[in-house]
Amino acid sequence: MKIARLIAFAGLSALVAACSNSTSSSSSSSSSSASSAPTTKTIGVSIQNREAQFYQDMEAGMKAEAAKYGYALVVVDANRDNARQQSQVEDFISKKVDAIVLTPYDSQAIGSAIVEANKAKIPVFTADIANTSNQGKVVAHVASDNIQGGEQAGMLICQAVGKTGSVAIIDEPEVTSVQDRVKGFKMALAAHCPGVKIVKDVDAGGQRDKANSSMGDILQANKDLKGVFGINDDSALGALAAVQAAGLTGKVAIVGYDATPEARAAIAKGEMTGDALQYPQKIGAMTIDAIHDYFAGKPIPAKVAVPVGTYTAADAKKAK
Amino acid sequence: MKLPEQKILLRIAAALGILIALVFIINVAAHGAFLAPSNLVRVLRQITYNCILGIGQTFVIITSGIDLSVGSLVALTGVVMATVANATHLSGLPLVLVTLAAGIGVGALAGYVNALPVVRLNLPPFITTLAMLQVALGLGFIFSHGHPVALVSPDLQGIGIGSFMGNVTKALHLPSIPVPVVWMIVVLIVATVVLRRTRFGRYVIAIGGNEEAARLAGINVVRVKTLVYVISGVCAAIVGFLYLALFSSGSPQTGTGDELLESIAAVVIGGTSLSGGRGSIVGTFFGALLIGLLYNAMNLLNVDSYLQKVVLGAVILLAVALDELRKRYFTPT
Repeated sequence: MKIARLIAFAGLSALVAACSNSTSSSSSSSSSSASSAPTTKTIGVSIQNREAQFYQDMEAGMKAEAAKYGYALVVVDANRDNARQQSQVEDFISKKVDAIVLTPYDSQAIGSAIVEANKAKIPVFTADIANTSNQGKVVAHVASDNIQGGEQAGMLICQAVGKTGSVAIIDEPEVTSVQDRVKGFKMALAAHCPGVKIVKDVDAGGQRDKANSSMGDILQANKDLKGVFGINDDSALGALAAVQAAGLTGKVAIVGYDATPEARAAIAKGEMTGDALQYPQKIGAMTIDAIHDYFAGKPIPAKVAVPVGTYTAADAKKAK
Repeated sequence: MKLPEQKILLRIAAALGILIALVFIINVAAHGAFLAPSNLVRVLRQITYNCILGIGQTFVIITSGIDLSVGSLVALTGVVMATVANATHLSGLPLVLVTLAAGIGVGALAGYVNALPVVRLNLPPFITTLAMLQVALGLGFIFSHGHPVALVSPDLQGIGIGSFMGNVTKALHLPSIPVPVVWMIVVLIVATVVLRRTRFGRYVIAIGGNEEAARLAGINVVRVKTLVYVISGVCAAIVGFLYLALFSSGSPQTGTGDELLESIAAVVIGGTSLSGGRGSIVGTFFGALLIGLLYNAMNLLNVDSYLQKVVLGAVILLAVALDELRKRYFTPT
């Protein structure tokens, strides 16, 4: 029976091999011809969580930019798993790719994978999430300017709330990018509407259900709350649900971060005020640009900051 | 119940033949990268973790149990060991020993707790270890306050990413052997000896074959069944330690990804029956190797990572289905 098992397995593997040939030739004809032509550069990309819309957009940006330069792109999903991401980097090394792009799942644990790539003399770039371990050398880190993004969110709150009033932050203070967002948010308030006070700053882990219950408590304690900043859209949408439950829809300005489709819909309906809008496609494209410059021997800054914009009801109208 | 040796040899030969043919096809498609010694050594390193988890799991599954908590135990022991290591101010070998002992203590205790309701209250292990999965996950988050505990000392890095006898392999122009692989081989040998050459091992198999008969034959079923869960917990702790050494960080999420599923898959693909009574440690190693090679080959052949999940799922389903069919039509009498 073990033989039958192995034969079935062999058949399946052959199927996979067949599939792989067909997918690579159909999805990007340049990449399949690339492997035979040694002059074309191949870039290996390991994304921490490819299911997220954000990373799909980033991947699209990378693909478009790579096509411009004629680079072959190999994108794999680390699936929120340190060990998997480590293996993927090692597989890239076996494959002898010309550059590696990582969005680390764990910015501390990624160090040992980067060390291996360094040993194999393959340049490593990080996008969106940086390597914070003391191991490994990264050529450049490309990410949103989260401080500036937080400022955008703060300005939206100022516009909606006016000169005075109390606002809250649905926070996730362990995450460095979120720390920057909140820093920018506070800077904007201090600069544009210093009369507006932050009465509550709660950690809801960036999760919708927690944001919902936290916001419920905040509304209970602060009946006059005029606005809330959710550090991501799950936080903002969770807050929105609490505002709706309290029958205050439209009376509390809600600003989120990322402008996910759900948040956009809420903004279009006037339930949310607006969102800080990252440009993941731009992050992807600028990562490939940095690699292109690196290949060309040009100097590259260690940090590439991608600007953050806003998404408001006006943008929602334009989209229609 | 045991197969004649000749038949086993024949099976191994057939399996090897098919594998070799496959390997050559993949190697050609991957422009030679697949069979490069450095790549194969990397695959061995990659499967170390699932293989060790699978070895612990093999003991449990032979008694017709299951341990769903191993992934969370990797995370919990990792967090505990990182915290302990940072608190001790030791360095070098003492640090390694104290850290590992702390992890193994926690893993063994968790295994013991896993076993208690199974052996005392006759609760299904699927439920009790599922409960432990949650408990360990939660404890990991509590101890670490939700984020990874970075190791202060670099002294564990040698175990995580170092090479075994690097000077010797270099002098002989061989690919360097990662230290975790050596750990895996040691665990593999110890586990094989325990299962095949000790009275305890024979009891494990006897209980899986027919628990009631084993009890009537005077085997201390409670003790043996408790020990298999302890072994599984200890294996999880070893994996937690190796991950901690690799990543220099004990994360409450490390190990909670595909490790559980893939380690069970390794056991099943390796020929251990989910209904108990039959199993092999070496089989589990080959199961883990097969999964590792499959992933590696798919990565080298640029198979889309979404499709990779489909393939792994299909392989697991196939292995379990074949196990079931074997039971239905080829039950040895």
